[in-house]
Amino acid sequence: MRPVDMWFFCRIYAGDFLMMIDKNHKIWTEHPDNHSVKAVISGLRLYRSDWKKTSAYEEAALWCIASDTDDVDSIYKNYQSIPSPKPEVIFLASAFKPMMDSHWVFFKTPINVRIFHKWLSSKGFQSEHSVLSSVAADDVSVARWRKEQFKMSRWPNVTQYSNSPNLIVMCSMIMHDWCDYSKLIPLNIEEEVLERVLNDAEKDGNLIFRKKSSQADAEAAQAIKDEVNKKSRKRKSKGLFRKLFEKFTQ
Amino acid sequence: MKFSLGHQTSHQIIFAGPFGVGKTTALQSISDIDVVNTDVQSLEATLHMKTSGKKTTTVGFDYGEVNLMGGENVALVGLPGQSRFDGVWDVFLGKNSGVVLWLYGDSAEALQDCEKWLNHLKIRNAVTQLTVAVTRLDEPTPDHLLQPFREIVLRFNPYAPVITADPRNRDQVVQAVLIAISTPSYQT
Repeated sequence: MRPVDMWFFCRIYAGDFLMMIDKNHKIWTEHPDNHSVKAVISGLRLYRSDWKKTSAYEEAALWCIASDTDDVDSIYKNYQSIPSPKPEVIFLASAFKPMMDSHWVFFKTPINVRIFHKWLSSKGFQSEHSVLSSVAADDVSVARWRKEQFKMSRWPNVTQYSNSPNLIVMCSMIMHDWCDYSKLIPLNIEEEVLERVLNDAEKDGNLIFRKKSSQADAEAAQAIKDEVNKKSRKRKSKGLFRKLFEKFTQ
Repeated sequence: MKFSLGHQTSHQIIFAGPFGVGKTTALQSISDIDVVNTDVQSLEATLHMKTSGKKTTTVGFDYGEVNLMGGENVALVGLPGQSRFDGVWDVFLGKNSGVVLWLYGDSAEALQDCEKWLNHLKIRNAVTQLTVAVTRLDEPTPDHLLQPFREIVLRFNPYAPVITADPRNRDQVVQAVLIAISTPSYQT
């Protein structure tokens, strides 16, 4: 296929998919607790907040399969049994696997956010969140709280989000200390709520950011420096002490 | 026989705020024990009844206890809202884990009330661990409605959260209490 034909094919293909997700925002997965699956769903919700998980695969517009699924064949059989338009399938695995169908797309885990968002925009997804356009880096729309460490400068109006005590724990945590998104996932707060709190906080200027790697590097460098200083101080005082000791024992 | 004086709780939270705002209601909606209260019929309350359905007022203090999720027992004390009972305020304020200041969100004097109450709390050294809970606002509350309150509160305690809460809603009252306990303490 020539590149022009390929482009044309992709446009039609993306158009079908867009028509389908216009009515249906359901995603089916066998592994809702898998971190990569969670990342995919969070990514999708940045574009459309109303993506919902469904347990009925035939109802879903999108499937998300994690690598630890050992029964891919039976999943594929189920997939074939579904009438057109077929759902898109996001296949997540740590090593490359050939895809069984043109509707299936492979992503290596841990998922590369940039590639994932590029794929979403190639499918014609457009963000309904203004926050994405304001925090977009390069051509990729990713909220800063996903990439950097952050701290909350004041309490949000928590009762507007959820009555869960875990939300209080989370807010308290990110008010006291620098934190990254991955540390908040085990708190078992509904993803939608968590993202809404963080998006609103970022939009209201209520989050302070710092780069993950540079900060970690700086901290590590400082720790090494402190350790060296401590050792040299120890060595010096020991020498002095030994000298004095020798002086008085001679 | 073993007697113990006082309460055996790890934290004590004070509910403060203007008369009729819902401190007793909030306390009753979360207390695990029967609330000890000193509410009496009052003419003032009856006049106020037109707007709030309230016939009584607290003349001493209300006392309740709640067991939070970590198994911690928290003592809850509701103060009277009128300044003529400020002797009771002096007894309780400044010796606690935290204060929840309840304020009317729909009153014309809401912001004056907020400033006045924060001053009452400050002179009693009770703004270090504080949550401001604004009642009677429609849900969902646009965040900008809380901004004027935040600006006042900021002058007294920059860490103090301003939230909306309905005193009749147990979950929201528990959240207000949890926040009061877990917010960083601010030393002036």
